[in-house]
Amino acid sequence: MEEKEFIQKLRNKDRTAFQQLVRQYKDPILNICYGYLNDVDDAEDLTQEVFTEVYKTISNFKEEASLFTWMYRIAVSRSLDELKKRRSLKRAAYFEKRVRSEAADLEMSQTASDLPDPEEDLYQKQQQLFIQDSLNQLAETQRTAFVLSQQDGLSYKEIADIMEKSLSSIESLVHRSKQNLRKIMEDNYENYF
Amino acid sequence: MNSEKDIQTHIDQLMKDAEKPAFLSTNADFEETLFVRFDEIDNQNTPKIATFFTLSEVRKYAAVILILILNVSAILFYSTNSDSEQTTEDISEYSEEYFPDYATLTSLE
Repeated sequence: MEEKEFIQKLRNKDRTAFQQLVRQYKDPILNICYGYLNDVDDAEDLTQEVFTEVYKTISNFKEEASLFTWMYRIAVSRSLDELKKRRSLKRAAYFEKRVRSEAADLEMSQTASDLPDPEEDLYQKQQQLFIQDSLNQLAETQRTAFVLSQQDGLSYKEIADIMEKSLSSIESLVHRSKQNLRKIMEDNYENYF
Repeated sequence: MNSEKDIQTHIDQLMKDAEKPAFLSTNADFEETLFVRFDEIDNQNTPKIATFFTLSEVRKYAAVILILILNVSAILFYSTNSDSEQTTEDISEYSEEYFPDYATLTSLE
C-alpha cells in the first residue's frame, strides 16, 4: 500500500490501519523511550502516549517528513520532556523510589530459587545504573544521536531526518557522544565499582 | 584493587552494553490498552447534538412572535388610517370651536 493511501486511512481513524502501524512501530518506539528513561514500565507508558498523540494529531501531519520520521520525532520529544520533568522532581524522591524498587527486586530474587545469584543480580543492576547515569551526563543532542544510533536498522540519514540535522553533523554527534560517554565512564568508574 | 587494564576492559564491555542494549518488546496487553484509549478519545470528540428548542418552546416563541406581529400591524394600520383621514378642514373646524378668534373674545368685554 502506498504511504499516502495508508496515511489517509489513518486520518480517517481506520482501526485496521492503526493496528498495522502500532504492530510495526511499538517495539522500536519502546526501545527509543527506554534509551532515555531506563525503566521498562515508564518507557511503555510513554510509548502509549506517543501513539495516542499520533492518533490525535495525524490530521495535522503535513507529510513534509515520512510517517516513521514524524513518529520518531514525537518519541524523542516526549522522552526529552519526560527527562526534564524528572530532573525537576526532587532528586531525593526519585532515588528513594529507585532504591525501594531495587530492594524489592533483590528481595524477589532472594525468594525465588531459580533466579540468578542475588549478588550477581545486584552487580548487573549496578552496571546498568552506571551506564544510565553516564548517559544522563551527555548533552541533549549527543544523547539523542546516541539513543537513535542504538536502534537496529536506523541509518545515519534517517537519524539526520529525525533530528533535522545534516548527515555530517550526525556522524560527528554520534562519534563525540561515544567519546564523551567513555570519558564520563572513566571519570566516574571508581564511584560505582 | 582493579588494575588500569581491568578497568579499561570493563569499560569496553560497558560501552558495548550501552551501544547495543537488549531489545525490548511491549507487554501482551499493550494494544488492547491503547485501543481503549483511542475509544475514549473518539468518545470525547463525538459532537454532542444540542437541541436549541423543544417543540413546546418553539410553539411558545411562535406565539410571542405572532402577538408581536399583530400588535405592530394594528399600530401601523391605525396610525396610517388616522393620518389620511385627518384633513385640514377638520382641524380648522375644531380650532374655531375650541379657540375662538381674538375678535370674538374682545367683543365679550
